[in-house]
Amino acid sequence: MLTAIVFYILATLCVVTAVLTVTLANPVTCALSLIACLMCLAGLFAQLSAGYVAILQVLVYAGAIMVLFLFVVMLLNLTREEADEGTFGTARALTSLVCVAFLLDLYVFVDAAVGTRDFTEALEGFGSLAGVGEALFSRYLVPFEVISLLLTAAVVGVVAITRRQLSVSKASEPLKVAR
Amino acid sequence: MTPAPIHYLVVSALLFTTGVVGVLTRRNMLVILMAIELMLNGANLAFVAFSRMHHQLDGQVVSVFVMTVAAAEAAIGLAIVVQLFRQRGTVRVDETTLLRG
Amino acid sequence: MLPIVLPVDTGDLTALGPLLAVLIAALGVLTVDMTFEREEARGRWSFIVGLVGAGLAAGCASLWQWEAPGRAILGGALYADAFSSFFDVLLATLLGLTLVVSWYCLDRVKVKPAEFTGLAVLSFSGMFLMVRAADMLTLFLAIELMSLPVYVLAGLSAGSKTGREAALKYFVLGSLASAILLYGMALVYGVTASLGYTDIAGYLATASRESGVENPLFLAGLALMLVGLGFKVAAAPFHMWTPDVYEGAPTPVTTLMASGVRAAAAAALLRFLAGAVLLTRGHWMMLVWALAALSMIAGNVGALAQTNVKRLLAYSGIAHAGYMLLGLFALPRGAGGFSMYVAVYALSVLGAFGALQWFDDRGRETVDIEDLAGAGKRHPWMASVMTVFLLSLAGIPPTAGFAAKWFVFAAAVQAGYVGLALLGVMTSLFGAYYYLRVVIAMWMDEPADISGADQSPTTGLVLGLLALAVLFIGCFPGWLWFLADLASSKLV
Repeated sequence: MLTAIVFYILATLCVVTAVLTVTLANPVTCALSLIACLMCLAGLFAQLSAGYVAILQVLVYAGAIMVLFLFVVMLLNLTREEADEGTFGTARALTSLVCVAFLLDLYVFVDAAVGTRDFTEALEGFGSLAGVGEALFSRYLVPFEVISLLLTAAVVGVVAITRRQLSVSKASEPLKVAR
Repeated sequence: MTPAPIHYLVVSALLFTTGVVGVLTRRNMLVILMAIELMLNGANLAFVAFSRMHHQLDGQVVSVFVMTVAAAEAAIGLAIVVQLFRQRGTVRVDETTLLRG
Repeated sequence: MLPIVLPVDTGDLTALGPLLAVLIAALGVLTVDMTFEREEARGRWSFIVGLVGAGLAAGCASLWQWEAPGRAILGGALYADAFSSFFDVLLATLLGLTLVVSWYCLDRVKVKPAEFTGLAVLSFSGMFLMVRAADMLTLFLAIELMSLPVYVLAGLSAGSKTGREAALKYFVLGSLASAILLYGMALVYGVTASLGYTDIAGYLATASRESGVENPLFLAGLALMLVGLGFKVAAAPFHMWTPDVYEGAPTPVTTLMASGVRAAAAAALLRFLAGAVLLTRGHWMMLVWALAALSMIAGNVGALAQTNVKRLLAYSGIAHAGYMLLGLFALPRGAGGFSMYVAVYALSVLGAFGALQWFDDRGRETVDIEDLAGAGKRHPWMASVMTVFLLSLAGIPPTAGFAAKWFVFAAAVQAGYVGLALLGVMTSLFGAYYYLRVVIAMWMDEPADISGADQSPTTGLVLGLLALAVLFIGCFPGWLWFLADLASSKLV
C-alpha cells in the first residue's frame, strides 16, 4: 500500500514537472523543473530495485548534467529572450495533438502487451552496485569501451568548437595551410 | 493496488511524448535540449521497468550507458548553442528555418 | 571478490583488425594534434596518420576469409563476418578518399585540417563499430559515436554564416532521431527480454504469434526504431533536414555526411532487419515499402526545382535512399543488391562532392549550377570526371550506378513488388533530367567566372582514378555483385 502511495505521488510529480519543463517561459525555471523531474525519476528507479541507477540519476543527471545546463543558462543570461514564447500557434497545437494520438496508441499497445503482467519478488541483490558493475565489466565490456571513445569524441568536439571561439579575433586573417 | 509494469510504462510514455512535444514546439534551443533529455529519461524508465519485469540486469545497464550518452550529447549541444549565441546573440530557433524542406 | 571474466579471445582480435586500426589512427591524430606546435605540421601529420589508418584498416579487412562462417565475438557485442569485412573495405576506402579530396578544400572553407581529420577519423571509428554491432546497445552507442563528431564538424568553419545553423539543425534532429531509436529499443527489449540480435531472433522464433511476431508493443518498438534509422539514412518522410544541412555545412563535411555516414547507417539497418527481426518481415516490409516509395518521389521531385548543386545532390540522395531500400525486399535470400547499391552510391556521391570541392575555388558553402557553367571548356578533364559521377548517380550505363540500380530493381521484381520497381524506373528516368541539367551546363554553357587557379593535381588524379573505378564497376559489375552477395547472404 505504501509503495502504491509513493508511486502515485512520484509519478504525478514527475509528469507535472516534465510538462512544466516544456511549457514554462523562463529557461531557468525549465531547468529547475527538469531537475525536480529527474529526482522523482530517481525515486521511481529506486522503487524498481535499481538502486545503483537511482544514485547515478541523482549524482550524474540531476547533479552534473543539469548544473551544466543551468550554468549555460546563467552564462547567456537569457531571461528576457522568452517574452513572446507563450503564443500557442496552430502548428504547435497540431504537433501536440499528433503526439497525444501517438501516446494513446502507445498506451493501447503497452496495455495489450503487458497490461496483465505483475512484478514478481525481486531477487536478493538485484540492481546492486556489485551486480551492475559485474555486468559492465563482463558482458558489456565492449559498450563500456565504446563509451570511453564517445566521451573522448565529445571532449575533442567541445574543445574544437571552443578553440574556434578563442581564435575568433584572429579569424579575419586567412588560415595558412601546408600544401 | 501495487503498481504493475504498465503503470511505470505509462509514466515513461508520458515523459517521452512530453519530450517530443517540447522538441517540436519550443523555439528556445536550451529548452529543446532539455526536452531531448526528457525523451532519453522516458526511454530509461522503460528500460529499468522492463529490466525489473524480466528479472534481468540488461535494462539497468543500458540506462547507465544512456546517462553517459546524454552527458556527451548535452556537452556538444550546449557548446553549439554557446557558439551560436556568440555569433547571433540569440538562442532562438525559428521553426521555419528548422523545418524548411 | 567477484569472478570477473573478460570475454576476450586473442583469435577475436584479428577479426577486429580494421576497427582497431581506425581507433589507433584516431588516437594517433589526437596525439599529433597535441605534439606539434605549428599548424601546418599538425595538419600534415594528422592527415598522414589518418591515411595510414585507413590503409591499414582496408588491408586488415581484405585479409578476412570471406567463405568463413560469421560469429559473434567479445561476449556477443560484435559480429565478425564477411558482411562487416565488406563494409570495412568500403568504409576504409571512403575514409581515405574523404581525407584526400577534402585536403585542399579545407583551407578554402576555413576548417583546420587537424581538427577535420581528427573528428572525421573518430566518426569513422563509430561507423566501423556500427557495421559489426551485434546488440542494440552497441548499435546505439556506435550511432552516437559516429554522429557527435559530425555535429561538431558541420559548424566548424570559421568564416561560415550557415555552418552553425546547419550544425544546430543537424544536432537537434539527430538527437531527436537517436532518442526515438532508443525508445524503440526499449520497447523491443521489453517484449523480447534481450538486447542481442541473435537472442531477439531466437525469441521471435520460439514465442507464440501473439507474444512474438504479432505483439503490438514489439511492432511499435520496431516502427520507432525504423523511424530513428530512417533519419540517419535520410529516407522520406524523415528527410527534411538533409538539404539544409548538406547546403549549410562546409563541402568536405557534406562529403563525409553523404557517403560514410549513410553507408554505415544503411549497413546497420540491413544487419538489424536481417539479423534480428527477419521473422516479422511481413510487417516491416510494408513500412519499408512506404519509405521507399515516398523517398523516390520526394527526392526526385524536390531535386527538380534546385539550382544549388549541393541541395540538388541532397535531394537526389533522398531518392537514392529509396532505391537502396528496394534491395531489402530480397530478404531472406540475402540482400546483395542493397549492399552493392550502398557501396556504389557512396563512391559516386563522394566523387561528385569531391569534384565539387575541386571546382569550388572560393570555399563557399553554396555552389550553384551556374557556377559550373562552362567547366567543360576550362577544365575538360575534371568536367569529364564530374560527368561520370553524375551519370553514375543518374543510373545511366555504362556506369556503376546503372549496374547497382539493375540489381535492386531485379530484387524488388523477384520479390513480387513489381509496382514499386516500376515506380523506381519511372522516377529514375525522371531524375536523369536534373543530373543532365548539370552536365549540360558544364559542357554547353559559356564559361562562368570560375578561375580554377590553384586546383591540386593530386586531388584531380585521385578523383580521376575513382571515376575510372566507377566506369570499371559499370562495365564489369560481376565481381562486386559476387562480393556483396557473399557478404550479405550469411546475415540471416
